[in-house]
Amino acid sequence: MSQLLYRFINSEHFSDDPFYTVTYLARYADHIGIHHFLCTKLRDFSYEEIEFFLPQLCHLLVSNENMQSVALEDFIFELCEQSAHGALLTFWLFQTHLHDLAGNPHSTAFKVCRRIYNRIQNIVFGGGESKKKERLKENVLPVTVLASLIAGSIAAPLLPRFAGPLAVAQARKPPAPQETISEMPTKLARSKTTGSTGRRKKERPAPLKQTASSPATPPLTTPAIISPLPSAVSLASPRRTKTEIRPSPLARRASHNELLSASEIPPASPSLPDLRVHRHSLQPTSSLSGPSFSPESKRRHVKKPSSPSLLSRSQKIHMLRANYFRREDQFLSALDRISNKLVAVPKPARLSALRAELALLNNDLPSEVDIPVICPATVHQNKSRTSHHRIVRINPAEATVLNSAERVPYLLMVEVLLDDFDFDPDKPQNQTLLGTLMQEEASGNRQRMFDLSESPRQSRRVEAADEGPTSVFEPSAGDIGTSPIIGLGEGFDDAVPARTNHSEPNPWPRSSSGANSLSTMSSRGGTPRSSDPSRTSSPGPRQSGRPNNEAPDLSALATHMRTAANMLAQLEVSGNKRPKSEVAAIKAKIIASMQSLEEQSFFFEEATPAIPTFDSIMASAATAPLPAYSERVAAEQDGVTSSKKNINTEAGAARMENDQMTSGVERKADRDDPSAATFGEEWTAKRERVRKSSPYGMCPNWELLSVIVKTGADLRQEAFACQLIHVCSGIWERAQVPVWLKRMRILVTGESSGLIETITNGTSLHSLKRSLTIASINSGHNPRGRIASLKDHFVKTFGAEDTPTYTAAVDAFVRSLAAYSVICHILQLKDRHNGNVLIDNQGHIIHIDFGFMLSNSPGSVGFESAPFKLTQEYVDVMGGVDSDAFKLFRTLCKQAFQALRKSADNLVLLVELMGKESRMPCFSSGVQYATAQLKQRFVLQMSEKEAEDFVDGLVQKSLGSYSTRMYDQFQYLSQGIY
Amino acid sequence: MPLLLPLARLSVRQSKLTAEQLTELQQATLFERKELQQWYKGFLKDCPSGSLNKSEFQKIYKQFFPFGDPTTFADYVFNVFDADRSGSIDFKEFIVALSVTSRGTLEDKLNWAFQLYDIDGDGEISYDEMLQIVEAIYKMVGSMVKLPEDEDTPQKRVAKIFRMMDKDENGSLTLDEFREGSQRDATIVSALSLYDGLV
Repeated sequence: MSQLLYRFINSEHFSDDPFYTVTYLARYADHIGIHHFLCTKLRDFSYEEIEFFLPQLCHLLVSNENMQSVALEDFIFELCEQSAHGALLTFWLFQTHLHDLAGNPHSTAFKVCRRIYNRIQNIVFGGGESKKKERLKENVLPVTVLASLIAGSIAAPLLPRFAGPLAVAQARKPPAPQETISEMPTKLARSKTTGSTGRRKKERPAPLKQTASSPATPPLTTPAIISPLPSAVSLASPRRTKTEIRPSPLARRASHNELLSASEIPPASPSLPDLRVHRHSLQPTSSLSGPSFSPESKRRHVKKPSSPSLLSRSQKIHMLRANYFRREDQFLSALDRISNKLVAVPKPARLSALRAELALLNNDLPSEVDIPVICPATVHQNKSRTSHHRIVRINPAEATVLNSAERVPYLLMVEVLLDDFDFDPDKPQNQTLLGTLMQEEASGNRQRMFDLSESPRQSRRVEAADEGPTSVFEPSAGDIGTSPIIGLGEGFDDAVPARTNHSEPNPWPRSSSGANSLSTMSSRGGTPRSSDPSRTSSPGPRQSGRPNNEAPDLSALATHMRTAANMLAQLEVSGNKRPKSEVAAIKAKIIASMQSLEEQSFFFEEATPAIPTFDSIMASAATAPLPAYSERVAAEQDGVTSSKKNINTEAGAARMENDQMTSGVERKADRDDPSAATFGEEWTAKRERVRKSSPYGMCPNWELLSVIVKTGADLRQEAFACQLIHVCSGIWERAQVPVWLKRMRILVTGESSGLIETITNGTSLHSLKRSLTIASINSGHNPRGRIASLKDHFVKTFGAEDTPTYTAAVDAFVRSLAAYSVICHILQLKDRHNGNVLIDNQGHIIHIDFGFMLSNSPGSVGFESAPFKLTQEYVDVMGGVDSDAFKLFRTLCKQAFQALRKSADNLVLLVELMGKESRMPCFSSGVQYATAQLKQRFVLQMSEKEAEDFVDGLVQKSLGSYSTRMYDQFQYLSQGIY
Repeated sequence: MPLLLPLARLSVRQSKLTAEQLTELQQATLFERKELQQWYKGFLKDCPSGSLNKSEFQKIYKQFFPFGDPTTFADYVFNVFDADRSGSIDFKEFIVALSVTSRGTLEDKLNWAFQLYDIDGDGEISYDEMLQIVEAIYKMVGSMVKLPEDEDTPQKRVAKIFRMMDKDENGSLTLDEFREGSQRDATIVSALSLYDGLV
């Protein structure tokens, strides 16, 4: 078998796609030599190809307790050293694993996980010391091999060169953790349970952070806001209080030590975490008496070099990378925190509160931040050079809150400059940054970026709440209430970022260095650049010649706004002490002032007269406080559909509203005639509009991303489903099956947080049908309230039947439908109501929302028992069951199915691999059951011919399936989903 | 040669080395007492029975060389480790081999390695003996290593070795010829320092 396997691994098959290598790593998890060989194969792939399988690779490391080989671990570390994105993603993945395993801190998996997690931190914040000189551990077996290689040197000197590295790597393997020293995690676990009472999902697992935070490996993602006051409650959610005040001394100390230079960091040894250090580092948490340095860390602190010239090149690179890593983490934590804060704010005020928070966030942009996965960096040919896309701005006015049952996801328009930063220490931009970082380091004043805490204002807030809401705006109302806003609209396009120097005393001290004035535009070539180089220098001459004080002080506004949001949150909690009517009145007043504030503040940038956006219409129309957007829409639309009173339309209306926000449907047009605006604002148009309003818009490398921030949801299964779909897509591509699939990108940043790339050119079938139906009822053409069909949409959007545009759209529909049909069957994607099925602007069908697949399904069994969703209206779009389009559909389904069958084993392996020790709901009935069922669906016992007939059978069964109709009907009646 | 020192038998599964054993091992190796104790702990972890027999030994090599057949080579190496020919490798035998190969001088290593090739123990390496070892290594490595054309078969490689080392051209290598010839070949010298400084 061995020679055969060797030849197979060396075959083209394996070099096409890391998929095979990854599945073989799982299959041969306990074979040292095969693992090493497979890992050398992995090194031949590009970073992007590897990144795709990072969840699998990391899962393999954690779920295979008997894995003897260190090859994969070493491979991951190497990847983390090479790629900042790789390091971040791996870091987050292990964080989620630690979260899952925290309940069992004695398990080998937990310890392995913790060791790797610590090591990655060390790679990121350490000095980049090489592994070359690392000594061997007491591993007898590999050392025996090493000794024999010495003996064999004379006969074959090539032998040690070939087998030596493998044996050395194995001989460095850290010993398995032993029970006697694991009392510490128990304590942590306990502290976790007490800390999280009342709320199951906290943003990040507290104990892990502490575990990871020896002085040399600082906690990277401490959710705690570093606050000087132990009692400082940070914004909205009172429930969060506990977690946020928790580790301040620890966190602060860590922040001092985060960027130790190479010489000061102990060698990155993969050995057991030194538990003495951990225990020690945990002690300060019990006392909240400010930073306490261990003698050791004090010594280190003193030794720090204070000028970049004293650093080696690799130290500089590491410093730049560490800076990126830290900012990235702070940035994403801030996005998370916003979402958490919004939960506590009453619905009507959420949009205002979101925009206020984003305005503050913008203060620290541009910075060395991007969004891994969704905004992948450019990896240049020799893997070591990578350019990242810099986030320069998140326009608060373009952000929207999406409707959701419990959490508050929101949509962001993120402006980036492509390939705008890297870690090349020779670049002037980075030299300046290094200087700043070193200075901060020397003075001990590290900036915490994107810090949305407001602890310094805590006392004020409490007073204000006591006095009643009116007083909140008074002190500074003059700033906002006065009117130069319209005048400012013009000059604003002159490429001056909103965050100019504040002329007034800063209401929220960012740090003792007082450096929150941040950058103006860099004087170099007029291109807005990193905030850092200019942070310490004085602001350059203003190009527009506009005096500073005319610049709108968005930040001040935002602060007021969020104070108001705060109070609302406070009212929610303490409201029961006051009469209800009084609370309601106060609330209404606060919300009204927030909304009017927001309209005056955030939209002046938008005031380009040519394109009246929906938002700007709203803003200009807002003379009196209005009910929130969502409420109005819901109210109006409820009126429209009042003829069907028995239907609960709320969920359906909310869904449509989300669609409008994500895909731009209906945004600029008259809301009274939604049909006029199906796909109203195309992405390209929106991009242009945002570009025009952006001070960075004139940069040739400007780009716009649309992402949804989803906090409070575990996106791992979602990401896994997208991955499986993508793998199928790859199989079809190689087999040249001309079907179409949408690749969706999801970034998982924690067990309950992540970002999703918005599908910007598609709308759910539900929204399409709903808006068409409402429109036809409104126009009087549809007195009986017939529900519009998909074909109505096709005709309306792509032209009459038989027109080339219509035919092309149907073709797109068929190719995508075939792909998703086969996938829905194989993966058992369920909950396929029309809110989870999108149609894009070319006619493609796109499935989203993969909460139910493989072995779990919503509700009772029997719902959605058809192999896939093939409704009569799909058939109608294709022109009936006898049409050419439908024949093509059948043919494509067969081809797609056959191609997948050929890779069935590997798909099953991939699922099995992720299912092991998994917490994903799709494995809730056990990984063995899930994989056995999956395997059965490939009907591998059948011949090719039989399999074709089998697909015909599937189509037949799906066609007009009673259960499919029932499920849609159920969704319509219970949720108002069309 | 340290190998030939008569060492007191270690009782199977004793959890720590006694002071007496430590002293003895300290004399036989280049390790400190603390290191010896640590390696002993590691030895018990990896070989819970307190020793390694031939089939366990083969298993290790199969793990490291999955694409070839390492059994023959493993057997030859086993005999070098198993200094007292007891059929199993105990801690003393292991630690002595480790000491020589990781911390020994070039001369020490060559003296130790000589035993691998001198299969019958007559003090000389015959052409056939060398061929058996080279064949065993080639079989173990399989097609994993791309070999230069002038040594891509065991025969070619052995011929090359003898051209280089067999000064008196009598078809067998003495310890002196073996040592001197090896030291003249830079690739061999560097291969011999494979894990110097790592233990």
